[in-house]
Amino acid sequence: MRGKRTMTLNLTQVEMEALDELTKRKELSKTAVIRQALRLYQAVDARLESGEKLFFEDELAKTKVEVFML
Amino acid sequence: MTTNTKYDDLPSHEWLRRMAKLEDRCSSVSVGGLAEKLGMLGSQQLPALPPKLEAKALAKLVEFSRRKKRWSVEDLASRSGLTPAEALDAEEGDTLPEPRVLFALSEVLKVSYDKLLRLTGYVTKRDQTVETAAIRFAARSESMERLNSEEEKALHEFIRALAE
Amino acid sequence: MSEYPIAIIRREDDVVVKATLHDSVKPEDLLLVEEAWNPMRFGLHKKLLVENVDRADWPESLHWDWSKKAHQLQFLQATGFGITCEGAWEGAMLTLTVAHTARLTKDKGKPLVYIDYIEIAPWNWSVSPLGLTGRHKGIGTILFRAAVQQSLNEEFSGRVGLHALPQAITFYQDVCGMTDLGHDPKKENLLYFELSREQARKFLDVGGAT
Repeated sequence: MRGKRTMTLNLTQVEMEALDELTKRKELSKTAVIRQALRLYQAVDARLESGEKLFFEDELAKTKVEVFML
Repeated sequence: MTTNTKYDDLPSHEWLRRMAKLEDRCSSVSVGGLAEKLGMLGSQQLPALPPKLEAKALAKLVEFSRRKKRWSVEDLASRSGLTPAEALDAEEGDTLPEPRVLFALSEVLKVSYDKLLRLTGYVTKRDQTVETAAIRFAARSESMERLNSEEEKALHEFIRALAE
Repeated sequence: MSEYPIAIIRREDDVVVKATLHDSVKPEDLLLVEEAWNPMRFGLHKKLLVENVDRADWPESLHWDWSKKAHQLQFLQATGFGITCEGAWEGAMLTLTVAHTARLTKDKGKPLVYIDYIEIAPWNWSVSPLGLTGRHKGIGTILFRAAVQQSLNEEFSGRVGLHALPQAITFYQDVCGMTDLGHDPKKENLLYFELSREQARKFLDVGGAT
C-alpha cells in the first residue's frame, strides 16, 4: 500500500498548540508528528494487548510508574 | 513503512569502491538487536557459544526418541529415573549431561552407554563411526518441527550406530 | 515493496555489478531470506567446528534467524530492507522509527532511525580462518546508506542509531563515522553508536571517518 491519502484533522485550539509545540521541539512537520504518534500508539497498544505493561522509569529517583492506557 | 520513497540518490562508483574497501577491513556489520532477542549475549558482550555438534546430536537424539514414543518430558524423566530438569537439559543440548544422566538415557533409549560416553567426550578413545553418524544425524535433523519420515529415518540410523 | 537500482562489487574481479535495493519488504520475504541463508550458515558452523577455529573468530550472526523477525513488519514503525543481486538475497536490514530517540546532545530527544537488525548473506562473509573471502562487497555500506536515506525521508535529518556487536565496532565507528556513546547497560552493555545530522551528510557525500 504505497499510495498516500489525505485526511482532514479536526483539533481543538489546545491540541493544535500541542501539535505545534511538538513540531518545533522534534523538528518535524505536523504530518510527521502525527505519523510518529500513530506508530507509537500501535506499538504500545500491541504490547498491552499481549499482556505486557507500560512503565515510566525515573532512574535517578529509582521509581517506576505504570502507565494506564484505555 | 517509509513515508517518501527516495532511495534513488545513488552513490558514485568511486564512493562505493572506497567504502567497500573500508568495509572489507571490518569483520562484521552485525548489530545487537537480534543477538539480544535470541539470548545470544553473555555478560562479556560476546554472543552465546553454539553447542558443539556432539551435544547437539545427543540433544536431538533424546528429543526425537521421546517424541517418537509420544512421551512428554515428564514421562521421559520418570521412565529414566531423571528429574524433569535433567531431562529438559539433555534435550536442550547447551551443556553435556553427566555420565549418570547418560547412563539413564542409554537405558531408556536402548543405546550403548559406552558409545554415548565417546560421543560426548567423556571417554577419549575416538569412535569414527559414532562421530560420523552424529554429524550426519545433526545435519539431517536441523528442524525442530514434527518428526517426519526423514527425521524418523535419521533417528533410526543414528540409534543403529549407537546400539550395542 | 519498492525497488531501486543500486550497485555492489563482485569480489572476484572487482567489477561493479547491478543489484536492487528493496524497501518495505514483506514478512514472507524475510522467510525467503532465511530459507536461502540458513543452509550455508549451518555448513559454516560445521566447518568451524571441524577446523577447530577459535570461537572468538566465529561470525557473530552464525545462529541468526530472520524468520523470527518477520512478525515485526506488521508494525508501522518497522521497515524491512533487502538487497538482491541476480535473484539472490545479498543482505537484509530491519529499522525502527519510534523505539529510540537521539542521545547526542545537540538533537537529544529527537527521532532517529534505529537499525535493529542488519546482516550480509553468508556467502558474502569473509571468514579468514577458513580462507573464505565472500562473493560480493559493499553490502553493509549500501544498507547503512539506505538507513540514512530513510532517516532523511522521515524528516529525521539523517540521524541513525544502533547497538553494535563487538566484531562490528570498527565498521560503524571508522567506516560509517558514527559516535561511540558508550556501553548501554539496558542492552547487555553493548556499545551504542549514533550518527548525527552532520555525520550523515558527510557519510553520504564522502564516506566515513577514515
